[in-house]
Amino acid sequence: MKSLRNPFQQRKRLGLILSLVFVCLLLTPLTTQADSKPTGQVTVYHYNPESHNDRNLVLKNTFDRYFRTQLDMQLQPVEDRKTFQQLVEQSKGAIFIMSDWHYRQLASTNRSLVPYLRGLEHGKDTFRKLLIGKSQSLNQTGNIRITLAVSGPQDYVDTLLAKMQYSSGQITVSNARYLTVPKDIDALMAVSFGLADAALASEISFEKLATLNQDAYRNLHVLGRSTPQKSLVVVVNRDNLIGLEPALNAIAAMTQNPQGKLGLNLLGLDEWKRLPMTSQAKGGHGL
Amino acid sequence: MIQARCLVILIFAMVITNCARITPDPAGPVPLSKNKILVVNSNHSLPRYQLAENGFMEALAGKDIVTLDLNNDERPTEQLLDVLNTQQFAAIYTIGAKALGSVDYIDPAAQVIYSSVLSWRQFQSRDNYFGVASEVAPHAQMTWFKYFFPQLKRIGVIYSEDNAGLVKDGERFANQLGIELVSAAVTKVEDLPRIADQLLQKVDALWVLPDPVVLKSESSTKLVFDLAHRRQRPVFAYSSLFMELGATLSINADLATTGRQAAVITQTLLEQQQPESHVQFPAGSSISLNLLKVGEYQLDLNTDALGSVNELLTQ
Repeated sequence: MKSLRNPFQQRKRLGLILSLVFVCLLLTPLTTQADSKPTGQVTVYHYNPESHNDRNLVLKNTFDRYFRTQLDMQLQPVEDRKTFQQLVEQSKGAIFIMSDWHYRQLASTNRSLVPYLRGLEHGKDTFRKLLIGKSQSLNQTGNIRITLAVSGPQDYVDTLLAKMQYSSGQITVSNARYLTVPKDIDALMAVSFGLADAALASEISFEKLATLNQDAYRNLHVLGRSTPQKSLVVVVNRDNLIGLEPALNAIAAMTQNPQGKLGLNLLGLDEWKRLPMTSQAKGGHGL
Repeated sequence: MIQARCLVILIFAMVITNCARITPDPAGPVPLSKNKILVVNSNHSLPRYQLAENGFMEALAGKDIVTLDLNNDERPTEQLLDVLNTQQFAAIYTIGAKALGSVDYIDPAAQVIYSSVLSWRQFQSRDNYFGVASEVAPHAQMTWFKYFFPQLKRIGVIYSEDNAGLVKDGERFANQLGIELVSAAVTKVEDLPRIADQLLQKVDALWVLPDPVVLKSESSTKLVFDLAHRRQRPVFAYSSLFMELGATLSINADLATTGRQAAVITQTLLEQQQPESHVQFPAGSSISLNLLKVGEYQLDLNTDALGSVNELLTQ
């Protein structure tokens, strides 16, 4: 049965609706810009310059399968550093997984970033990068440029080489050319098989090579050691820490679920360690 | 069905053009006067070619580079000739067979660097040609097999005469890794069912090579995979195309890295130095793993290795 309304009432109602729409339109840019309150789906952005972009699909599928068993969450791998850094600035209600090296860069200008979880591999949260060559020293005389097989971006490699302790003379970065490969083991094999003069690879990868192929391992020499590097870190914005705790708990509990464990393994980790609250509140630089 | 046929045809094409072995040659002197580089891409719209080009361009950012896309070009040599007649290049990087074939037809004086070419062996002894092979080196493949499945002791391989040298080298590399490479020679495809089935009973896994007899036809390729599945033996391959046929693990060349390797070779040539060899194997890997097969065959997977996987089949 239709209800009959007079024209005045209809105009009044229409005016009210239009006013509400107007108010909504005014508020929309603010809420979009802030993307701050973790009320709906929580997005976990992942960017690791030391990891290869073509792994993004496998990471997303595996993490999302795990997240579906927990909360309304999704993993969003990010392909380039600039976009990721914009997301860190703008998406304050999101969670970010990034390398410690990258986190420290961002935290130097953004004091509201809080590291909440740290990745562990074989119980360790630190690793060293080694400079490994086939001979005991690298010939950098004259115009001869050495080829370094590396698995990270150039600025990261430059930083590592600049702070490295060398056993047989420092590498002159300007006299080295980088061959970027997807994985540390690729870098080691590139040296073993004569495709590069030296490789920058983690201590763990070098140990793996030792267990795999003793002959290849014996023919390689450690030419330098980096300072200890921290492993992957899960970061949030301090203002949203409390609201994001259920999602952070779901990430922390990944070891308790086969899909979650698989996701961790794909990141090269075994588990997450919660970082001390006091450090989180301070910004966690000393962790 | 059509997809499966296309897949098998592609595999045959790969097999036919991949029968010999790399024999590294010392490179000759390289007199170069200019530093301008031409990149000739067979088809820029194909992701696999695009990846190689991007890897090359990023590694040589800031260099004087001209790019040419031969996609949809029915007369590629004419287009190429127009470019070469108007500009001088110190080096030409070709991506794919169409680009390399066109450059080869014109035979310019510039140094030629190539990648993504299945028939790369035809060019390995040419003085001014340098390139990156299309498959990961056999010894690198074996190292990855061992890394993923440390408990494997005996890996089987079926080969014809064309791959006899590769298998001999493979046995030596396998020994270094604590693996026994159990080989079985085949001369006629008719003998394949018997030889494959006998071998599968003696080994923990089967390694597929680009072999013109073993992978001679659609039926022979499927037969090998079917027999391996019946015997619950994983198949390890050299291209992700085999994952659709039921391979458990495939060690593929990372295409962006092949572009970067081509850039290093180009840089070396432009600096008047000699690359160590005319052809090098891909330095980067892209790894496909079928987790369902791992479970089905109850394989002992090293979970640390999952951090290296690029493609994971779980459903």
